[in-house]
Amino acid sequence: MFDNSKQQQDFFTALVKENHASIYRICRAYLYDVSYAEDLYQEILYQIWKSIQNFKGNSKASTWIYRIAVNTAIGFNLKNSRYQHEPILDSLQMPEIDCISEKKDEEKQLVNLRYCISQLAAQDRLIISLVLEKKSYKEIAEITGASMSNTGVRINRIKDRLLQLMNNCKL
Amino acid sequence: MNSFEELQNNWISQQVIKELKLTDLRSVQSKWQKHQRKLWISNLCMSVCFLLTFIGIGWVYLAFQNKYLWPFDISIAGVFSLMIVALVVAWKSYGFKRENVEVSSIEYLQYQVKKLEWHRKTLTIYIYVYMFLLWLAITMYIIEITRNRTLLFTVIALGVYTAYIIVISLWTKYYKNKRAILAIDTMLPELRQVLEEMK
Repeated sequence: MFDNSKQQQDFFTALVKENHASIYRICRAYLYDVSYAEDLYQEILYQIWKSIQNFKGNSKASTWIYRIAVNTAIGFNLKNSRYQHEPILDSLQMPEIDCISEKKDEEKQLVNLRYCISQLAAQDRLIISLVLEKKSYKEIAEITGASMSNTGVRINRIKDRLLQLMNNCKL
Repeated sequence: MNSFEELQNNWISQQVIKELKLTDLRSVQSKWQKHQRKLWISNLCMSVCFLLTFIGIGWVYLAFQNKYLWPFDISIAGVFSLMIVALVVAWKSYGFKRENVEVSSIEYLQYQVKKLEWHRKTLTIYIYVYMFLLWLAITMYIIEITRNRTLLFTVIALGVYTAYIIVISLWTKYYKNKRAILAIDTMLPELRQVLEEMK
């Protein structure tokens, strides 16, 4: 697909520029601790770079990138057991942030959301992060390698569980 | 109750401040691959030459074993052992674990750094230790096989051999290994920097 390494480099830079925010958010959803999530983020970028010459353009570039992100995340967690830990709600570690402004409310909700996601199973965290990125069921099935019907059922179950956790968090 | 759409919008609107830190990685990896290719060829040539030498030394040992005393046996065994150790040390600089890149880049970068550090030590220290020990073993061999000759003959044989070892050491230091050490010295800080950025 690439005539020279310059083209490859440019393609990589463009891909990362376009998708870095999504990749980063997936990392944040998958690993609760921000420093671990950043390690995973770097790891995913590296894996994308290493695999870029194998990209044949058969699937959408973003789907290909998410597939690498998901596989890297699974391998990363298995390989680095130190990243598996009991999360502590961010707000418990930080000064109280509620009641300051509307913006702070949003931040608090985001903290709660991250915490609730961290309560899900590892595979479910990855799937819900793709749902939160507004990926279609078809794309998610393609990325995770599961069937459309299974993916749909699973997503609905995870969504319900997440909403339930969010409500419990509010109480 | 939160609607899922609300969660989605909140999630997507979160602040993301990340920069791409892998711009130098391409050039470092390309240098590494080039270095590894050279090392592979050089180690392969070395292994073939050593194999031929093993056969030659083996033949000398079997043919003249009865003619000489224990220093002959010790020197031949010494040369044999030194060559085997030298081969192990040389191949230890080579990175066989290429496929591990796909598993963990940080570990792979650490692996690359270790390999380069080992190779640098080989080129700057171990090779001279090897040459000195080889000189000792061959000196013992020369003294033993020239035992029945005149002292002058033994001294000349030792002098020629010592001069040969010195010339080879100087050539290795100032010519043969200079480029390789320079390449390693360029790569190591770059690899360490990328590693630091990825941590």
